Formats: sequence, structure tokens, C-alpha cells
Amino acid sequence: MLAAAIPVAAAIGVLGVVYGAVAEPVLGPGLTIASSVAAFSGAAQFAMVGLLASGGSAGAVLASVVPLALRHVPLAAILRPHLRWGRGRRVLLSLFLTDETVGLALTRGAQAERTVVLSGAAAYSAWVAGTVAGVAGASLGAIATLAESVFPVLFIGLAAVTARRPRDAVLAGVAASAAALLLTVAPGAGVLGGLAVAIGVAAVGGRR
Amino acid sequence: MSAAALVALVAVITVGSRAVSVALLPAPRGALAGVVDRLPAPLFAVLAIATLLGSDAAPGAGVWLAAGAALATVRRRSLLLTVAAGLAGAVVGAVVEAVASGAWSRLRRCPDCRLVFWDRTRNASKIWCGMYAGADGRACGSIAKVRRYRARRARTTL
Repeated sequence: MLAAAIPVAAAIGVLGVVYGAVAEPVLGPGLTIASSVAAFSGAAQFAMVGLLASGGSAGAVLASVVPLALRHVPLAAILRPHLRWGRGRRVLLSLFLTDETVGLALTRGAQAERTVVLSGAAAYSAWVAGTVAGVAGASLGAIATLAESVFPVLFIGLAAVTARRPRDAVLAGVAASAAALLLTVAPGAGVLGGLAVAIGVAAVGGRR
Repeated sequence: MSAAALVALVAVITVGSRAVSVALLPAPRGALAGVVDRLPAPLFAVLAIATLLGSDAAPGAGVWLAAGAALATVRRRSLLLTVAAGLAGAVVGAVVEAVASGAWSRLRRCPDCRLVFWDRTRNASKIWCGMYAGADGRACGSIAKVRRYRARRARTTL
């Protein structure tokens, strides 16, 4: 079980270093570390810092963070059938609800809660430690390409491990192609457009 | 709105959306269960595309190389293998980008002491590891110039 959490935690640690280095000039050291401790969401934090650095308003930040937060609805939906805990413990579990922990949990249906907690704790530690290291001063140039690559690589891997049947792989391919087409034609569609494509493909994919 | 208030708000939105989704969504039934059952792989595939194409700037060659290397391993269905291949692709891609942009030639070796260093000068003209002896190393540049000057003077004044 832990063996599967290690590459995820390592990738998130790399990303944390980049976040710390990028956010420190914008937010200052204290607030940068506080944001990683409190939010634990790479995508939302990068969006926030990117917009603040380019002079975006608070409204623009919220407009990009809310769609990313809505991503938690389909993530929770695909995790839900594997959860047996009651509502109170599920709320505690939700602190570790990330793309990566859900993806890992789906590959271990019988121990979903344990997987989310263990991989979540590892990823959270790596994220905060990476942020601290980045704030403390890491040279950015060399790892910029690495940082840009981490999310696509992680998601490709998660799509691969959650494709249990041949049909899942076909659906993933169809959804990826449709999303690529959508984002090429309408770049503004963003994450919400992508989520709509995925749900649509999953809904239609079951019909014969 | 102050930066601290904005960070707090982003944290509340993120953590709150997690808690509400996980606590309130019921276990899916009927036709919906089928949709949820088929959703994971398309969801992550779409997120991969969104992170590749979603930003304003087009991804560089290194990112494409990383994604290609990751994609080449998906049939094995191992997260460890895919992440390792992807990151290896990113490292190769970073080197390719550095060579293509000419930055690679800034990695030099001092002709005197063989120390490898990074040339940070504006016009990329650094030759020796350093000009002055100190904590960082020896004064290879000054030593070479003095040696050359003495050789020249010995020739002309004899």
C-alpha cells in the first residue's frame, strides 16, 4: 500500500518546492506556508498565486478557485461507493480528498478509507515540507519543466490505474480526445468544461 | 481584500467543498451507480488534458516529452512506473530545452583547476572558475593572466 503512495508524495513534494519558490515573492514566507498548511490544494494555490502575481483581483482569484473546488463533487462521488464510514468520520477523511488519494483508493476498493488516510498524510507532509523548502530558497529555472510536467503525468497515471476494464480505457481515450478538442476550440472552457465532458462520456458510455 | 483574507477564503472554499461533498453525497443507486462506476478513468484523463492545455502558455517540448513517456507506460497500469517514466521524460526534456536555447554552453569547466561551474555572466564569456582566491575556490583567472604576462615580458625584455 505505502509503495503506491511514495511516487505520489514525491511528485507532490517537487510541486511543493516550486509552489514555495513561486509564492514567496507574492505572499511572503509566512502566508505562503500557511496557505499550504490550510488549503492543501496545488491547483487552487497555483491559480491564486499566478493571478495575484499578474495583478488579478480577488474576484478573478475566486472565479478560478471555485471551479477547481467543484471538482471535489465528482471526486467525492467516485469515492463514495467505496466508503463505509459514517458521516462524522467521512468529514475528517475529506481533509485528504485530492485527485491523487482518490485515484489510489479506487485501486484498493476494500481499504479505501485506509488508503486515503495513509496516502493523504504522506502527500500532505510532502506538500508542506516542499513548500517550506521552496520558501527557504530553491533555484527555479531547472525545475520549472519538472513542475509543469507533474500534474499531466500524475493524471495520466491515475487514469491508467483506474481503468479496470478495457471499456474504461476506451472511455478515457474518448473523453481525453473530446476534452482536447474542446480546450483547443474554446480555451475558456477550462476545468469545468473538462468535468462536463468526463461526466457526459461516463453517462453515455454505458449505453449499448 | 488583503492577501491573508484571500488565502483564508481560498482555504475555506477548498476544505469546505471537500467536506460538504464527502459528507452529503449519498451512495449512488440505479443508473447513477453505473455512471459513477465508469467515471474515474475518463475524469482523470480529462484532468490530464486540462492541465496540459488549460494554461495560457503552450507547454514546452519538455512537458510533451514527459506526457509522451508517461503515456507509453499506461498499459502496465502502474502509477510508480508512469510517474517515474514521466519525470525521466521531463528531465530529458529540460536538457533538450537547455541545449536548444543555448543555455547548455553556459555549463563550463575551468581550464586550470577543472572545476565545473555555471557561467552567469551576461554575455556568456566566463573562462575560469574565479578571478580571486577565497572561500569559493582559487584565483585561476588571475594566476593564468599573471603567468601569461610574465611569459610575454620574458620574451620582449630579453
